[in-house]
Amino acid sequence: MHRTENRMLRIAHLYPEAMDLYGDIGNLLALRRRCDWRGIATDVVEVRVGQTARLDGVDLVVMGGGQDTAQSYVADDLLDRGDELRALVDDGAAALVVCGGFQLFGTSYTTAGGEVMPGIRVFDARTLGGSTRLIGNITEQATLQREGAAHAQPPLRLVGFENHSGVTRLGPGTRPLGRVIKGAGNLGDGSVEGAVYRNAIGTYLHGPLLPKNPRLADHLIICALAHHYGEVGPLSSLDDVLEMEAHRVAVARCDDGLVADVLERAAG
Amino acid sequence: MRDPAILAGKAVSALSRLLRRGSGLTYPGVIAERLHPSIIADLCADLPGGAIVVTGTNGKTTTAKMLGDALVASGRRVVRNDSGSNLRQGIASTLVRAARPFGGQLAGDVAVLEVDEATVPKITAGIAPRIVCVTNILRDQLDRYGDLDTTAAMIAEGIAEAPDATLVLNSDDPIVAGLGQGVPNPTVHYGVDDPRRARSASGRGSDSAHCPVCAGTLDYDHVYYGHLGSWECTDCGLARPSADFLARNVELHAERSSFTLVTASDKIRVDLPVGGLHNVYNALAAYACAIVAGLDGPDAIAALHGFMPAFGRTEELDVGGTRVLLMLAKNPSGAEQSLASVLADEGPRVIGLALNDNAADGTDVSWIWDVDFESFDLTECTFVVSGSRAEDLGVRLKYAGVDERRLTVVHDPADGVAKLAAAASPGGGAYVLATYTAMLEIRGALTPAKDRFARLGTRLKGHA
Repeated sequence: MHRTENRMLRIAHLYPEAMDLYGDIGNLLALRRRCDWRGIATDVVEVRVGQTARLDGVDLVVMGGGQDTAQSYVADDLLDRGDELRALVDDGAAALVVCGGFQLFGTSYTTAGGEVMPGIRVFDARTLGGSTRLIGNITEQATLQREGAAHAQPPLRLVGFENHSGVTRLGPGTRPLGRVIKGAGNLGDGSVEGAVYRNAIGTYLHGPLLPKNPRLADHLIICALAHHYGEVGPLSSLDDVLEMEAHRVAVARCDDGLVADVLERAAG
Repeated sequence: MRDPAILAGKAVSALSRLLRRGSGLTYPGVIAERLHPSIIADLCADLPGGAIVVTGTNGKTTTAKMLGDALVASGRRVVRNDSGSNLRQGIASTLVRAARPFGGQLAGDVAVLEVDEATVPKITAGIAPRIVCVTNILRDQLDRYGDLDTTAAMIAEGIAEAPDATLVLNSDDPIVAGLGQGVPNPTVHYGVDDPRRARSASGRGSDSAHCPVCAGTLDYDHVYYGHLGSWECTDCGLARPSADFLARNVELHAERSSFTLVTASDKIRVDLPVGGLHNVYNALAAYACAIVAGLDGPDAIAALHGFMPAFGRTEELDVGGTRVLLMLAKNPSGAEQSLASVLADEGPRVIGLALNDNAADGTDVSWIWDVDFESFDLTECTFVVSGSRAEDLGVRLKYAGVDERRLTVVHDPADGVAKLAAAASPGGGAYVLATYTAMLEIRGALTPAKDRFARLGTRLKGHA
């Protein structure tokens, strides 16, 4: 087994001041803890609107979701950094962008009010803001393969909570992250969810996603280590009993049809 | 003629109680409104003191209770609803029950109505409230309304329907303070000025990064919790309004708090029998409303000193001889404030957290990751987590750095409280922060036991 001690990763956290709506900070906390438990140091670069930030040498990019106003607040600044971020992903860096972050990493996001925000085109994905909010627990089957790895990993069950009105259509250059088992997904029809391009993952899954899906967290860490150090072996395993119990409980809640109930309350 | 509507509503109310169909909270309102659609407005129109609307994410119930108690103490007859009836039909039911059966007038001088944020426009449109008080707009069960801007827009719509109402606004919340911008309403502000009570820095962003007027960047001198603090827009220069009712020198303990209330004319030390900075805000809001409503300052202060919290907001339970303090925690700011009050005094702590994801709790439990556990020193704490999403809480605490050996996971919240009581040091207390339905489960399981103990005690005394 490769030793991970004395290794380090550089993580860029995009717009923590604006894009952290539904506990998305938990994704960063999970990545940092899981690195820390394995002796991998993490250096987090916070990228804020209007402030200079060095993105060269970044191995992993994290961005959360935000309200429409927050999203339009960061959109221009993100566009300015688009070339740099796209180059990182093309170079093999990992990325996890959730909800609003996912939408702005696509081709464009058109709000329900008709405002068009161009995205940074990491994903070939167009999003239209809708009038119906898609809210509820969601679970899907994902197949992950690190860019350059010989084999795809065994199918991975993901679980989270979606809350979006955007409907996202993927173009031919981008494949979905997973096939929805329960939930609405990109199109609201329960077909596919999220997007993958090289080692970048876009998704509507909040929850937050990584604490309850530790294998996905470790996949991102492996991709980031490979970006930093070239070839990389498996990570040392951690005690994930509690995490997987939380995962199991959340999957069971996906079957409970809570969404209609919540929407009814909102209408009242 | 509104008599038929009121009589029908009262009949339904009596019938539903007789048949024990629910608590009779909404049906009377449904029936009365169907027979007389403007029943809420018409009933409120007769009140000499008018209606006072209290809304916001956190503190509605406590603020309305503090205000209502102060008005009652000064001799006013107060019509009030409870937190279970803060939607329109519940409010209609409350008013119908309080109305005289014939003549159709409310038996009261003033109404204090706690109103759900989304319901504000539907209520203010008819009743022309004297006062609209907005406590704060924070992250809540966000799966209900979408986001903070949506909530603010709904309240703004309600304020637009009530141009004569005096607004009582929290100056420390930029979203709330924004509601007073560009409207004709007379406005008073309340706030806290005590940087010592600012949260310790843990590198977290606030949840309202933009100016409510120009959407520019907000700069904070200090943040108390959520996005409440001393703020200024770096783009348009809009800043925290100066507060007409200001709290300084705030002292916080687990179960009490005190502060110096500063107004244009006075400086008064206020002692509250409840802990937490959030309750200081509630007291300020209630006091400001009371003064606007015409109460004398000393009467309002006396009422605050004798305040008893609303049922279930903070409640003391006796679990086999261990004192357990039960607190409602339903969103990040509320949980942080309760946690801060639990940790205000030094020493080891036994803390229970109970998280359910029923509709009444919010089905999205991601908010527990917005609770800034990282900003607290939890090394001396032992935790029992429970509820339908107990494991989520367990994972949250694990990633906040809590040693798994100090962490017990159970499902039934009442079991959790029993484990908690067993883990408490002899003579020491324990604390439980619970979401709404988890709190009901705990209370349901423990109250009969308490009654049994009381009966046993009476029997033993009888034998002695």
